[in-house]
Amino acid sequence: MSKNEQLENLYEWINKHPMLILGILLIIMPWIMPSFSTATDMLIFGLFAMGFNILLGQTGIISFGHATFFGLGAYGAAMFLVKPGSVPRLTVQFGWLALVIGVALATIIALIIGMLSLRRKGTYFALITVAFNMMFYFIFIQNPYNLTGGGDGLIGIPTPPILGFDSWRTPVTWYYFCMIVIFIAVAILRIIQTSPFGQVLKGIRENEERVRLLGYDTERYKLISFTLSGLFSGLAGAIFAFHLNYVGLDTMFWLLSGEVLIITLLGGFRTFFGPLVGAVAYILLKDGISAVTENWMIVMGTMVMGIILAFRGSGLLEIAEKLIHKEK
Amino acid sequence: MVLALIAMGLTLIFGLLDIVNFAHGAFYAFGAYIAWQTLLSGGNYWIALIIVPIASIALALVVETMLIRRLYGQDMKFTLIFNFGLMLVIVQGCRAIWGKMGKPFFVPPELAFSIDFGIISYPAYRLFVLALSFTIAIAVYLFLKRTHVGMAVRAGIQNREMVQALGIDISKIYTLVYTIGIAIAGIAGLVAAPLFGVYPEMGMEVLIPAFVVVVIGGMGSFHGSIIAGILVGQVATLPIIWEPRIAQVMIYVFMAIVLLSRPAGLFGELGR
Repeated sequence: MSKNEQLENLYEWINKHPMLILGILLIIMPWIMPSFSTATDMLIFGLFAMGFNILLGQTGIISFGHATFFGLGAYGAAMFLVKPGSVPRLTVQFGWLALVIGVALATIIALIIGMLSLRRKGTYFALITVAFNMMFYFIFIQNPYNLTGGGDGLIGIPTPPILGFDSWRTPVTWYYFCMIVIFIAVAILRIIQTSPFGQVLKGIRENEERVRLLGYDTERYKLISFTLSGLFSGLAGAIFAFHLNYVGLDTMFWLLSGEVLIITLLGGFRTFFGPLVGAVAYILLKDGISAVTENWMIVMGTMVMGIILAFRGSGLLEIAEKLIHKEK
Repeated sequence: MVLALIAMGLTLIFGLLDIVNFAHGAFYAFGAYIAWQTLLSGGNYWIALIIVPIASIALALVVETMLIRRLYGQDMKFTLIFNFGLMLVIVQGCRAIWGKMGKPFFVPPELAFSIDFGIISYPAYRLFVLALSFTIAIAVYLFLKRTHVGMAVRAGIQNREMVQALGIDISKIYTLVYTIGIAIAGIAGLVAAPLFGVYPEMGMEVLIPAFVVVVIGGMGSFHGSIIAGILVGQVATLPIIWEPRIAQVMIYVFMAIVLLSRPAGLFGELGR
């Protein structure tokens, strides 16, 4: 067996068992990263970007308002655990219920925003989603009924117990806990992607007219895609609230909607795992550059423009795949 | 009216170039900073009124010929993300040059008085802003309607290939429209400086409301953006009388209502 063939076999094998490889990589990842906390960030933003990519990569719709759902997930989870205003306070024993509430809140609002915004396509759609993003931002900044803490955010979110263990959380255990949750979420995303439903979404991306003529209610499929994408973004947001023990308004600012777009693009929005790769690369870059200069946004912005102009929007994973195929 | 000025440029650029200019707010901040720098260097407001458009036009020409030009005809999501990146660079550039902190900016002394209308008195500077905005709007409108170049711009919005077939260099028209849009954004920044101060994030804050104006007015509709700009201004300020906290939210509610009743916006055409 020549070396080339071996490589090829390895590549095939990787392609056949992507989830296994993912699992192994995720287990190793924190040990080669600057810190466990950074690695957890990568997981969370990776999940956020993958949720976002149901819409962008798979259905071919660009939203510029996904921070809404990330923020709603985070606030929804925090609200009932911290300073609930008029809301009943959950005891920490039932803390994971708050996570579910956060996800549910994000999902419901995604459904409503989807119904309103999917009436238009393309540019209009992107602008409407970012407008709704700002609307929620302004609502939350006003601290309605003392629920959101206004500009201060919600501080001191407790970590709920697992199986009766109260003080289980260390940076290491917390990483592996998040890893398991996110691995399951990615597995579900994978199932969605390969299911007949996912195939219809792909069809909408390629040629919506044709899919509609085949008898599919494309509007409904798009709405479900939008809502699902809101759900996973909300899950990422809810975990983020526990991760920082704090929720601030920047989880809902529209710049974050742009950031998730950059992450997805950087990793490769045409691939399934691209957004996850993008999150790892983005956070490494951001930390690396901001250690050198405080003007990291200039570098980031230039990089974004470069990806568009030089690689026609191909992210890291796509470039890697192209290189491997060229080798063959 | 500041919103209408920003929306005007946005809608012009979108209408012809098919580009959602996420960097628009950054040019607005740039204009405000140039104005501040002019005052710092010993100039006054009226000198800034000349320097800001010149500086904006210069920056726009550089950006258009070196970068934006390569985007024409590309997928909408790429142009959108590209301009988002451009915005980050310009905003951070302003921060790097002029610092993170906001700068105070005073109303020009010639206009620092109020005019008494009997019932209410109104700051003279705001009246000046109103007059200047209308002058710019009318000037651009006349340019589009009455000049040959303006005709080519309108024709380009309708049918690009046809304009080229007639022997008009459309890429020059693109450059021109982009530059006009950015120059107006720069002037908007100058005009807004005494009202809201000068700070790096000013453009990001005003950008989304400006998008809302463009969406309500109908994308690519020039007079739509002006009328919607005035309307949105009213919607955002009227609630202050009875419930100031919802004022910022109102414009988005207004947008949702308009979109539900007229999906193309007030003056837009469906199918864009």
